[in-house]
Amino acid sequence: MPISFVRIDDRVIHGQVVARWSRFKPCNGILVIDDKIAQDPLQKKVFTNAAPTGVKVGVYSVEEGLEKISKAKIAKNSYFVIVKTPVTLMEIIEKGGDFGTEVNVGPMSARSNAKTVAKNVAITDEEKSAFDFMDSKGIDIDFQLIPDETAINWKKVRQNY
Amino acid sequence: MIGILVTSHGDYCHSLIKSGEMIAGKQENVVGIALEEDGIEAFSQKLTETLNDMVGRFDSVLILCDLKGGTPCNESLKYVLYNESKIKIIPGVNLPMYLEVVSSTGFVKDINELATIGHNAGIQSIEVLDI
Repeated sequence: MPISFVRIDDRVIHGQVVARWSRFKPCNGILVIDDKIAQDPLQKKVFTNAAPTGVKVGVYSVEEGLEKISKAKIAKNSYFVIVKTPVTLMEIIEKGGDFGTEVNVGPMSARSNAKTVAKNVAITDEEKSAFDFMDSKGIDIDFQLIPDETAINWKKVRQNY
Repeated sequence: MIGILVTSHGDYCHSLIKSGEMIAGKQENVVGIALEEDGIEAFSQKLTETLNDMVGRFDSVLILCDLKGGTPCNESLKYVLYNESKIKIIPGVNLPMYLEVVSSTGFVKDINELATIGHNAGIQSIEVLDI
């Protein structure tokens, strides 16, 4: 499957992705989809420079991302999709995007309006609704920072909210 | 003089500097900043303060990071992009690279030249011994 991994991670590309996930699942390219990063040339530069060896990184708005996802699905290379928040994935689905039925959740930072629900994961009301939305669409959401850790499903994590 | 900043996941930077002291002696122009568990904001703040100080104190600064794409490297790059840059970054630091860089800062004044020296030393130091 050309989209080999979909991850929510508010640090986007960092050590866990570069050194572990990109070596654990097939990865020739990373599609970072985030409207804010896509509009910020400096942040864009940080993440395109963060590419693991042999991997290309592209940063796209949601609109551009929809097109990239449909292209990636028929490509022969394997792609990761990385977003900062589940709200972006919800938006992609609502606009007709299809990235598969599995989502991984990495670190989501503690913020004043967010509640901690798992190790290194804090979510807001809006993010909780987005997870519920994806769950209702039959998407399997696993919280797992690195491949070596046991995954915990959203159905269990949501009890901590 | 060129200042050297080493950034890493956890204590690698401090240990690298300490190991370097065993071979090259204590270096006055070297600082290490470690990213600790859950401490990205604390790390970024310390990084900004340290680089603001180093940019003032030295002619230029060479940042050696542990892992390309890791947070210590990404945050270093962010600083360089958002601020003025008499700064160069090399990810993938190992002991031979570090030693070559610190022992060259006595006579190399040009940051680009020092970056090339570090890059070459890092790569050339790795081989499989022919036994």
